[in-house]
Amino acid sequence: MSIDFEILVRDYYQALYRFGLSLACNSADACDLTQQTFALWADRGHQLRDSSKVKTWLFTTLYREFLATRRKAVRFPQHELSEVESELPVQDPRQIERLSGREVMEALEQVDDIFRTPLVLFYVDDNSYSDIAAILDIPIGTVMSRISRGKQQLRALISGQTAEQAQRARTKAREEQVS
Amino acid sequence: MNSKQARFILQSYRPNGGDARDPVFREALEQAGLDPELRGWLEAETRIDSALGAKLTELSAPPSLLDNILAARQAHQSRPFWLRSRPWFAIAAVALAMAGLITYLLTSARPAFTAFVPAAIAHVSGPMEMGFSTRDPTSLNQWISTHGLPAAIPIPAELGKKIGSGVMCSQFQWKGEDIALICFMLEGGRHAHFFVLDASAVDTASLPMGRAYAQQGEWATVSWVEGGHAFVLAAAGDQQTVEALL
Repeated sequence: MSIDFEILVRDYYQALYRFGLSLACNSADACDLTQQTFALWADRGHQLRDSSKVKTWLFTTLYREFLATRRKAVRFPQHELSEVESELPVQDPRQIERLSGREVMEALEQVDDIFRTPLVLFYVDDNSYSDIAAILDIPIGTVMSRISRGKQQLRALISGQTAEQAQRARTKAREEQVS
Repeated sequence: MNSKQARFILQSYRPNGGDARDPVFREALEQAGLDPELRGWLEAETRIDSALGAKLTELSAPPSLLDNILAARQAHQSRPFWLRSRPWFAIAAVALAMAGLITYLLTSARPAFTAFVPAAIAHVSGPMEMGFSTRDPTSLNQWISTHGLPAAIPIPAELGKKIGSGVMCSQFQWKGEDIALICFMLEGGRHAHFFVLDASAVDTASLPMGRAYAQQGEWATVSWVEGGHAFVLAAAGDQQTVEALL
């Protein structure tokens, strides 16, 4: 199976970079992960028989490269012992419009790793739940559960961010009034 | 399916409509058709997910990244053919075959990992002497590090949440190998048993890639190999029971 390398890179490097950024939380490492993924494709991509699996192959490879280079040893996940509510907080899409892409990513970076990874895959490049299950090698039910909980955490963080923005705007307006 | 269940499933429904024909979502979408509140929620959820996805696409890779990837490929291509990786595959394949033969000769003397699972179930089905108990992750870490185990054991996330309910630890021997056992308290007085053993001490060739599920009477188990260790998680119930602990 032959896939043009340059076309492949142009099609996927941005999405892979964003995924790498969400994992590594810095641009330099995200670039390294993306480059390494395509380097591995250059070496091994010809072994992939089913061209429809290219996207899954690339995201899986990047994720495994990230895991292999991760220095921080996570012994036990940090979780609240209390039950998380099953209902998502209601959110106004206009709140999200007021944020920059950087602010959304910063909120994502605060979501627990275990929920953030499937959530980013859901938002970046429209990966389906089955793609995400294959990339992360977890059951489909676990994907859905982690997306649900990731959304809860993200919405709470974004609500906090937009509340801060609103407060800053009010403070600025008061200062301008006084002056 | 009720609306709460539908809502859980639809949280994974892609906003671009790519899942419209997926049978996994069919029943949930039908429920949304019947329940105006659920339908309204789905419309709002789709708008929010679209907005968030769009915001993330504002983040672009540095302009040099594309050029660097293509340049690296160009440099790789311009190397003499005997230095490119592909001709080395044949050499690597031979080396791999040799390693496989040596591994087979070595592992044929090691007990099969598949024989461990029934032994593990038998161990926890009878009376056990658990030498250590705690509800504190730090204390559990100390026990782990003082019993010849690596500092970072990948305890599954959902199982890790149960530490605060209490864990009991012990070590036992199986075919001359030390096995660490961490028992987690679950709701209703049930337990989940997490076994850790050195992967090099057993023949793991029969394990498929990823996780292997099995049913041993009333016990459901999931096994996997990671970072030089082999793990078995066992709990009374079925595959869903152990999946929920991962």
